[in-house]
Amino acid sequence: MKNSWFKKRIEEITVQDEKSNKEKVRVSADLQKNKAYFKQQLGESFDVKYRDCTVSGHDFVFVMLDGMCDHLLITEQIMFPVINTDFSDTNGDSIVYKAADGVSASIDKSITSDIDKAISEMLSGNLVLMAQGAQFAVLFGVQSFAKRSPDEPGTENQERGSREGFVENFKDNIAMVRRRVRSPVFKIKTLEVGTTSKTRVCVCYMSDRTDGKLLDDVVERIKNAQLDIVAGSGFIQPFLDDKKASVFTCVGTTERPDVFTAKLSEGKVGIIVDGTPDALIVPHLFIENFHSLDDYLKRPYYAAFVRTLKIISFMFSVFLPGLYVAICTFHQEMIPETMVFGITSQESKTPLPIVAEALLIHLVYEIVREAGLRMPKAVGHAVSIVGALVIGESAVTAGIIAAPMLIVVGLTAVSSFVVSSLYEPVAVMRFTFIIIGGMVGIYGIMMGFAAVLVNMASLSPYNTPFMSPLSPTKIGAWRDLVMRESWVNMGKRRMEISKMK
Amino acid sequence: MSKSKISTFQFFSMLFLTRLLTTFTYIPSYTKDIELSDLVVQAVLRYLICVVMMIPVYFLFKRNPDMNILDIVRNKWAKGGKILAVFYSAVLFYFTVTTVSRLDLFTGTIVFPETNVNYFLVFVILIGCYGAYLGIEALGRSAVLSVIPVTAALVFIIATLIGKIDFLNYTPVFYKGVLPVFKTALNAAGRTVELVMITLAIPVASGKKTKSFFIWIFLQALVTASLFFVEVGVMGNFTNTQLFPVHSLAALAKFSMFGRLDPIITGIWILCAFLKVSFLLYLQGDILHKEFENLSKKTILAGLGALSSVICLYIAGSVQRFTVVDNSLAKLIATALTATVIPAVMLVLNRRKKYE
Repeated sequence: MKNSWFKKRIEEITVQDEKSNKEKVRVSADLQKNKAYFKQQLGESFDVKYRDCTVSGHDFVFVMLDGMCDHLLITEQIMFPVINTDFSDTNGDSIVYKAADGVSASIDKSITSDIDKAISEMLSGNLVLMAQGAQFAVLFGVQSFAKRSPDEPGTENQERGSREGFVENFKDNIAMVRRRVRSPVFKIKTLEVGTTSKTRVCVCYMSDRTDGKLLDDVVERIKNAQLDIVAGSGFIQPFLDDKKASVFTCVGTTERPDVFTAKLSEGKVGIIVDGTPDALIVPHLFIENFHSLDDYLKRPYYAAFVRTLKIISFMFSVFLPGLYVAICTFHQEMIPETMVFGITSQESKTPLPIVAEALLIHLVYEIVREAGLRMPKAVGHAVSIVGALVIGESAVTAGIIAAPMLIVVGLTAVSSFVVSSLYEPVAVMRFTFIIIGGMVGIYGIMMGFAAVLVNMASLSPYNTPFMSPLSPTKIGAWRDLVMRESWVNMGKRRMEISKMK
Repeated sequence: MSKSKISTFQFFSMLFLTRLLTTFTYIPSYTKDIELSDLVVQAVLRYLICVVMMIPVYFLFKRNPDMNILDIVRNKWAKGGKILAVFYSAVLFYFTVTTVSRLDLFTGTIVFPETNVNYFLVFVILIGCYGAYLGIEALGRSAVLSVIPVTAALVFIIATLIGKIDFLNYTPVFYKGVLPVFKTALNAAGRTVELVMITLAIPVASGKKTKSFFIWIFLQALVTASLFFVEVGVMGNFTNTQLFPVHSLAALAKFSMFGRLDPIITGIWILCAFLKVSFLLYLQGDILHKEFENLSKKTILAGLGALSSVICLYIAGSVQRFTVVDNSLAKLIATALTATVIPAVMLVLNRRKKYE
């Protein structure tokens, strides 16, 4: 496999990212040399601004990235104090130390001798100050860039609870979590991922309940992630997932800080990636796909009702089309007499076999859904109307698709959105079961179900079985499975993921 | 055995389902020597025989709780361990072939009598190999997830049939004497490959093994006896004219406007078949991998899958070939040797060594 034909074809058009072995370059005492190095590294980029000034006979340069810094803050809190400081009795490195001391304490500052680090920090929106004769650079945290307000996330709508959602800025996201956990047990480890992008990734956990091995494993996996650019948390997700091939993922995602906090409180590890509002949570269990924040905010009996609905919907969305095809093709005896004539008369008018009909209509549905998702909202509605009325109604009138099949598609489509986190595996499995149902009937579907079941049962991310607490059976955890206990009882003892092993 | 540990609940759930498959797919030719009501009696008797057959294994594992029979033999005689490993694998392979062939007989005669279903047979083996590849933990967890819906479906079908029981169908017990009933029960016990599974795999189960074993035996006897009781009561003499009576029984079940519940029982059957084939292949793969370490588990499973596919395809479609392969005496000898005789011999040898 090492020298396989396919691998060679991949190597022809790709480049392996190599870790830089570049030696550390120190900040020079010659200010012009430093400026030249900056310009050499950054080229003629218009957004890099150099501001030279001379104070008490010493030359200084401020370097910043336009559009990523707060200009008012720089002027009032940094430049003004530096310009008004008397450096006449200061020489060498002490110049930058004195400059840093003069700046307001509310501003983050650090001193480095590594010029590449200074460039990297400047690219993150920090202000760099260098002085003639000093072999250090001062970095000031003055980032300010256009950002979205923490609106309610569109993918996780809730009836009750906070209307706040994660945004792209990781510091804001951390602050949202901090506001919910005012305890020193909430801790963060910051890592850098991406050879080129150097994206900041925050590993969040609660030190009093998170298993050390789990935390180490997560950190190790993120550190070992070989990526050039991290454009979203989805880039990191595969590195955190179970190594066994499966359509299901063992990494949870959320855009809600309240959900994120609740998961951390169960001893899980959360990952916030700078530049993306989707936070990752590991390990993620299968049953959690049927839980939502609303379940915990409403009365337990209603939560149980909603969760049951979700499980039924999941079953519908995966098996209904396949079962319909299997029953109509092989097991007509199962259809009640009152229905069998209606279905037969409808299906006999269509030109395609049931399995082809099911595949076709589901394919059309997926195309319409994908188009509606990618189009601008206004056009998206039009696409939905075209899909529902024109294709659906016309296909039945023209005798291409039978009306019962359209009912099946409608029910399946609606059901698949009830558990939106499982949409991807559901969509793929649905097509598979339609094909199997059309080939070997219910027996094939049962065999396919068995294969899916054993695959799910084999997943064990971070030594926590994906199907826990169903199998391995943890009866104690069933207090929050389908039925949920009241907070009066649940509040007394909290659940911890490490106990699910 | 590999070090993976599963709970006794998972282990015996797996055995419960694999045994259920044998119960569902029994063929009346196995019970032709007894009267209808004796079917229920032999259902209980066969499990008592199973308990007796397991006595040497009980004492052997009491002394060596973390070893399976092959480890015990290997400790005493390394080469013998290798020979026995191949023998045990062959026995398990034989049961794999008969299990798949019986499924093929069912699909070929009842489900799709006019269609060639060879691809289904290969599909079953392929999925079985996949299950075996994922390992005993995955299979054990799947068994626990399956056992509740399977039991619920079974109880549901039995409940829908209770109203159709005709008590005139029950003949006097032991009408043809006790011996034919005992012989039939012994034959059925001989078909219990689960005893071989216990002999080979019980060390991987953690928990109260003896208690779990007796619960399993009790539940298995209860389910089998209940199923036969309903079958005899509903179908009467019609039972002996059917190739697969339990399937025919389910076909008579009716609930509300839904009739013919046989696809449900077949669905359960398929699920159980998957677990049985997977577990049998897993055990073979594990045993052979231990003896032939240079071969990867994946390669061994692929080889076993290919070989069983070829043999099953050869048997497929011919009842005569199936009858030759699915021989009660051969199964009885294989089970008795692997689950009773060899453990008993090892027990005696171990005791003698202790005295020496």
